[in-house]
Amino acid sequence: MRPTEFDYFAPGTLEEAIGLLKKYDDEAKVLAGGQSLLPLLKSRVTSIPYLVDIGNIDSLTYITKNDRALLVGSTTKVSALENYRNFGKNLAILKEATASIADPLIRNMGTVGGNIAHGDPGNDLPAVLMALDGSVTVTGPEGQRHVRARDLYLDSYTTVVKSNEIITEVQFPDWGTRSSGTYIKFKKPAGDFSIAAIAIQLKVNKDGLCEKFGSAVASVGPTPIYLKRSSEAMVGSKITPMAMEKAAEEAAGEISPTADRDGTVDQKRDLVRKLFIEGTRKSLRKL
Amino acid sequence: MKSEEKFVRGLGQFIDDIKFPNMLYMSVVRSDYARARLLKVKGGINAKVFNHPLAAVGEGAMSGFERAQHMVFASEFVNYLGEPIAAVYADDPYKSEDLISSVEVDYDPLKPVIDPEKALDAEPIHSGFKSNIISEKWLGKDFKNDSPIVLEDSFRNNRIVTNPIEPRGVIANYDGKRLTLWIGTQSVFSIREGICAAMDLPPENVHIIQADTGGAFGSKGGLYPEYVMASYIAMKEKRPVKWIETRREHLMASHPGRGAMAKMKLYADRTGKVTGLRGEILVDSGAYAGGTGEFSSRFIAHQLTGQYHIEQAYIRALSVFTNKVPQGPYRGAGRPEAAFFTERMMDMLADELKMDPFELRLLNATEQPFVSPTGLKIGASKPFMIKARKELGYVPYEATKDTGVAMFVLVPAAQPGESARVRSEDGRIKVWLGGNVHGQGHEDFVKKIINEELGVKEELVELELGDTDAMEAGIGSWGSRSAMMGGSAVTVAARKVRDQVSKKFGSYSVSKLLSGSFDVYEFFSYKDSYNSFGSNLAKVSVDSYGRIKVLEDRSYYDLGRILNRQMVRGQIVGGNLQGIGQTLSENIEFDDEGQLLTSSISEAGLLTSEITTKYTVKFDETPSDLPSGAKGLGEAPTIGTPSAIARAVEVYTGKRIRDTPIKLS
Repeated sequence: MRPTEFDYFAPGTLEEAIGLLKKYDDEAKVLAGGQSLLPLLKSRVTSIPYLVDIGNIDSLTYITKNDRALLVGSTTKVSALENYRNFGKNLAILKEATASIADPLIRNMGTVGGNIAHGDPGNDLPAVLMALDGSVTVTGPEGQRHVRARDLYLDSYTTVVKSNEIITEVQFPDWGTRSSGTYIKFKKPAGDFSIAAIAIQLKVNKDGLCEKFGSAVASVGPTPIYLKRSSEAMVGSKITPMAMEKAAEEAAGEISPTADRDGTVDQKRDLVRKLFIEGTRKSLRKL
Repeated sequence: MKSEEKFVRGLGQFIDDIKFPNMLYMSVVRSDYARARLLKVKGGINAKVFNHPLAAVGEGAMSGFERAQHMVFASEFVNYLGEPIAAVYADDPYKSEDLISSVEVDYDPLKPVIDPEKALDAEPIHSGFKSNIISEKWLGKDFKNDSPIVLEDSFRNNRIVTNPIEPRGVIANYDGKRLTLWIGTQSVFSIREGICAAMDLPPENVHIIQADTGGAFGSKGGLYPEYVMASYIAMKEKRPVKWIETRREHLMASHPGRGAMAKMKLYADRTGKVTGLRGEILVDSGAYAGGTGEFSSRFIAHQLTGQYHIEQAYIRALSVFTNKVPQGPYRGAGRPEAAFFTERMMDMLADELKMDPFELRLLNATEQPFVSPTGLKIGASKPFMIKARKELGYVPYEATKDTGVAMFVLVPAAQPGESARVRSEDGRIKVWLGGNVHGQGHEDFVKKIINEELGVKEELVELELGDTDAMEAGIGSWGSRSAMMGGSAVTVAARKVRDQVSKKFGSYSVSKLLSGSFDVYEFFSYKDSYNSFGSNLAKVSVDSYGRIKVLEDRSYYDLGRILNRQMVRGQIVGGNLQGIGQTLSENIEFDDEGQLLTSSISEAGLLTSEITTKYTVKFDETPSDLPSGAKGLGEAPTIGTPSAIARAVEVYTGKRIRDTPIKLS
């Protein structure tokens, strides 16, 4: 359980970090909190010749708000987001999702940006960001660009972020009044990985009609999956048990699980169906 | 400082905390296949330079099997995933791990035998054998029985691995004359015996020193190939050699326990009286002889009559080779399996007759001591059960909703007794035990016994770690035996010290003892078995997703004299939790090719404090007639808990439970 040899860089500025990534290109990888990368290196599942640790770039650690979203610097520790006091009811989902990641010790090391950038389909924050229709700022040699979370993931451990780019900020949109959401992580019997997890965010108007609805799942496909059809099906009418059932059926069809020790494909579809209903009910109760 | 305080403060000196200058670090090249012909092995220390079998030593190990022995390094064939092929070493652990890939190994993969049931008919995995059956024995006597009720069912306890917080590890050093091993172990004497046999060394040239040992649960009692490899390299290089097991190696190549199946057939009359029992026990021994596999099927069979007066029993005990890591002891080692198979049948009979499960058990209890047809010796179980019903707070109404109970017999590994040494020197008392403490806190009972027998204040008494130079002989700490046998040895040794003091000074006093030097080594010999009773009650709930939550685990055990209440309670609650783990999620699983599906502790279902539950611990404290007054303890909670939970889940869900871990979907 010891990694192969690598060169380690700890740049103090974003420019230096991007310079190093540009120089070593495919042979380099960004190291943030190390929650996922260090175990992969130690178990020698992967070996990386050049590690660029962005943990010393102070300008990437912050939590602020504007009128539309909560803005989180990418090296902000998961525990800092978990303990942030000003979410309000609208972003209660973030508290639930961060608290469900691993254990407190790991959350003190793992970063918000790392959780999103790593591309592990079992990670928790990507589904939340997708449900909220959030985005990330990506910085590279050519400058900054914004990527919508729903467009970020290409395959397992593969995102649209290039090898010389760094996710520098994560934007969690605030859906305003009469909105709330929930994150339910259905864990494996042991450990903190999920068999399936669901993020649901919804907003109703004064008449109780669903104005906005976002849902996404983790661990049931090669990437986190935005449940487009089921989310859209919820919008525009009252959130009745029948509407939930119908959208949940849709959700079960939108995922692409694989059969493994944790269940068959059908069992996992059924699980997501149940989680969709439970998550929607729970979100409604929080309004 | 109390022992637990030392560890909580991080002051323990475990094997990986010990460092020597000039130390080498060893890594092991292991088989990628469950079964293959080895075409080529090039590099490292391998079977070409050291080709010697492992000796069978330690708890439940069966020697005398000349074929199918586990070699330190595989040569012509590999027979399980993770089987050692070569060892490499370097000045630092990183380089050592890098060297693993420098060893060239060519395989010709063969179809492995993974499922123990299929092993019965499959081609033998070892040439020269007629079948994969490694041992077969019939217990009891064949019988005719025309009882109106005949129930049949089959069960399985899957393999689980011990997973102590501290994995295995060793440091070997050679000074040109003597080989010294520092090791985390349950028995320095078993390790010495094994090293001497594997290395062809006389005992006086081998010195085994125990390091603080961070849990074992059976996995640190016997010899493993890595200990021999490190010894060989230390002698070759004349430098200290350290090897520390990784968690992945532990899950892959440390000896797992359980891995037992049963086909059971129970005969009863309409009142619920059991009239006969037939059964077949099948144990997955893994790839080689010399582990616990050969013996454990017959040990399970021996216990199948449980606390009940069953006059007819005929059990076939079978152990088979498979292309998996050899079986070893895991806390309980055959006892939880036996209880599970028997108690599942008793519950089935209760359901068949629509009887209260406790009433059914009482009806089949014995009012007199009883020796069953399988040879199990028990005392009167009926009085115990009557007490257990009260102490467990058994309510018949709840037993139809969410509650399960289990009765069991604890057969401790009492024979052949144990050794102890008590020495008074420089105003303090030092004690050594032949069985070595590995997290149970034996210090506490040793201090209490010395205080009682000799009047010495507990803070002046120390329990030393195991050291083969400190005593002539010793057995080991396993099989629920330490307080019974080790405690008795300390008691007898202390009494002899007292006699020595009296003889020298004409009378005894603590100050006379502490002012002089006295030293007594005692082997307390014991040739009988000393079985006792235990019972558990579990309550569960199951949510709409099929997730089981254990709401309560109550224990009532006949423990004899309690030497330290807090430690006894700790042992029981910890064991309850292990029993919950086995029942809910723990598992070592392979695919059809013998590749490990459970290569992380998460996949292996190792639970954490998150799932801990409410415990009620009660005990009968009637002393045994042993010098320490104790009865067996350590394995009791892992024996009773799985059976009680299985029943609770069964009544909660209405689904018959046959296996551990329980899978509801």
